[in-house]
Amino acid sequence: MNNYILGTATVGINDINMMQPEFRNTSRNMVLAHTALGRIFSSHDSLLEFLKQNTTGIFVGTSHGELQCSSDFLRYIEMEGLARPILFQNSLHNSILGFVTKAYGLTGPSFTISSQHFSGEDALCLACDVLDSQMIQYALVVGVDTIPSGIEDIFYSTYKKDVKLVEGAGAVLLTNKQNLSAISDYIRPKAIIRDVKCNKTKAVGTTENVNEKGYYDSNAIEKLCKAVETNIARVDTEKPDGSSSVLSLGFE
Amino acid sequence: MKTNKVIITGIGSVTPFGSGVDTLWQNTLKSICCSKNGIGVVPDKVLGESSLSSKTMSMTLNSIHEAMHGAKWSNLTEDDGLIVATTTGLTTLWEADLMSYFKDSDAKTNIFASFKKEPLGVFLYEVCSALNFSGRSLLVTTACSASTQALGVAAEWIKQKKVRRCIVVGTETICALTQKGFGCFNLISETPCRPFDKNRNGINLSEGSACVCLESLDTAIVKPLASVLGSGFSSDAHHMTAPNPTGQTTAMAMNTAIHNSGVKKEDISWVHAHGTGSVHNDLAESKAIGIVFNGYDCPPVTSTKFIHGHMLGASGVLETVLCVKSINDSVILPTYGLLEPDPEISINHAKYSSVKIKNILKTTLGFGGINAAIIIGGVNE
Repeated sequence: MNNYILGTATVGINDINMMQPEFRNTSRNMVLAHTALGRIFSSHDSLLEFLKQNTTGIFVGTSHGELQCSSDFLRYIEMEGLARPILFQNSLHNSILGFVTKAYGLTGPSFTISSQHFSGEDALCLACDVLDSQMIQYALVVGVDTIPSGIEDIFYSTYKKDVKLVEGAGAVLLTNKQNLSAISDYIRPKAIIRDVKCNKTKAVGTTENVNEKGYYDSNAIEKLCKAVETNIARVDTEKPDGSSSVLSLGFE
Repeated sequence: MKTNKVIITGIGSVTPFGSGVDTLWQNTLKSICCSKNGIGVVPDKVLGESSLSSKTMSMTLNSIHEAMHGAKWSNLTEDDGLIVATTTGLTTLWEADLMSYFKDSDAKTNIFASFKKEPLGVFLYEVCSALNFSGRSLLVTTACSASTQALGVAAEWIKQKKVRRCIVVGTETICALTQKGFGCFNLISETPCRPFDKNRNGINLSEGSACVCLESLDTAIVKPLASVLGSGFSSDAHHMTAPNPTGQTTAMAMNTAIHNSGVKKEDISWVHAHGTGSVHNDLAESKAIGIVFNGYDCPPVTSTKFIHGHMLGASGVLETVLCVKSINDSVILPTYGLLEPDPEISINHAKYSSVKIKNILKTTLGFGGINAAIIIGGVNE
């Protein structure tokens, strides 16, 4: 591992404006992911151009993906007898990735990962693997999830009652040692990812109550961002089903 | 390129033809199309009596067990890996209940129970549990390029020694969401699809599962069937559903795969294309192939989707299984269903031929502009 975290950004549902013209026919997931990435790019006027000129991968981790659009698509069929193409094209988990690559003109390798409570961690680990393979020079990792409207009662029923669910996104920009100097005119390293450990079957010692600040399945990236910003070297996350993860960071 | 070589030692499949790679292969050689009215469905009888929770799980585990049996893997251990590729996961278990709920939210439906299967991660969890597997796992859902990406990632995991061996399995089950969805784009052809044909009029959807076992020569018990020599990925950044019509970004993925494999372009014997039979895919993909082989003799190009239909996220691994069979039987398959080549598509359409295959370029294109390519090497390469 030992990849460098160059940029971080978190976005809550109140931070986005769905009414912007560029967000016509989009979903909240797409806008959250787009806004999080935009915040990273805004750290330097030419950062996005630099990333486009180099091989930059995007890794989206999302548990429920575009469940809102899938649900709306099925509802239209059932209630109106009408299949709406826009809802189908947006119904894939991968449509978040399709939207952000198009919006920012990024043509490098890109992946959508969905591993329920570990969607953020798995996207992060895959990004590090692909960096290690030298197939890419830079990696943007996004963890994003929303709560589908219209079926909230069903959706909430799949979580324990005391879990406070929220919508949000986190994004990080990563690179490895070989490519660090080339980007240093645009952005400087904030931390190093030392290790990501996932215990997908049962809980290990944890330090945080999931109810405290609100939870979404792919929120590991948001938690990673907050740890980087506050110089915390270890992020423990207890998942609603008792499984857990530990992210270890280093600061130079 | 001999060191850390990633080899394929087991293959498995469940298709509308039945369970087992031999069934798929025999039907392929007889040029039989599995689709009825544009849809290929796996008959329930194929899977037999099963205590598993769903057809999706039955298909997945059937193909995994066949591949593991071929590779002589008795079980998976903690240092192995497992990558599942799908776009629909267990959707068939909850979508009908959800639609009933929309009609009458007070009606007694099963939705509160069945909806627990909605996250794709639950499918991954169930596959791992069924195999009693606690090693590294991942679910890739990058549209129709998902399982080609999964093959590339698995090969990297093995090369980097992050896992000892790895299973890659792709599964899709026909559901209302995909059937109505592709239908509303007028993308489904009710007749057998005709990739690269002047009169092609759409895709055939299908369901099933395909699996390969990947490992290095150090761990292999059986003779290698083929190898995964390199992979390449790119994004179009062009359109949510249509590929980049210039083929440029798709060609990037193909060129990267060739470069990473260390194989010379003149040593690619065959291109196994995505070739869905949709107007836009076939045009863009053929342009990409033209860009990649500009200045070289274009190798023969084939799409086999007339036979097995489009298995969406599972198509990459399913077609890799066919590539492995082709390598081992020394045959290049033609594009079945191609009667009158589209004059706008200037590729070297493959004819059935018996020939020793050196290397294959396998490509896929997905919604969201996701391109993936791998180089599959012959056994002696």
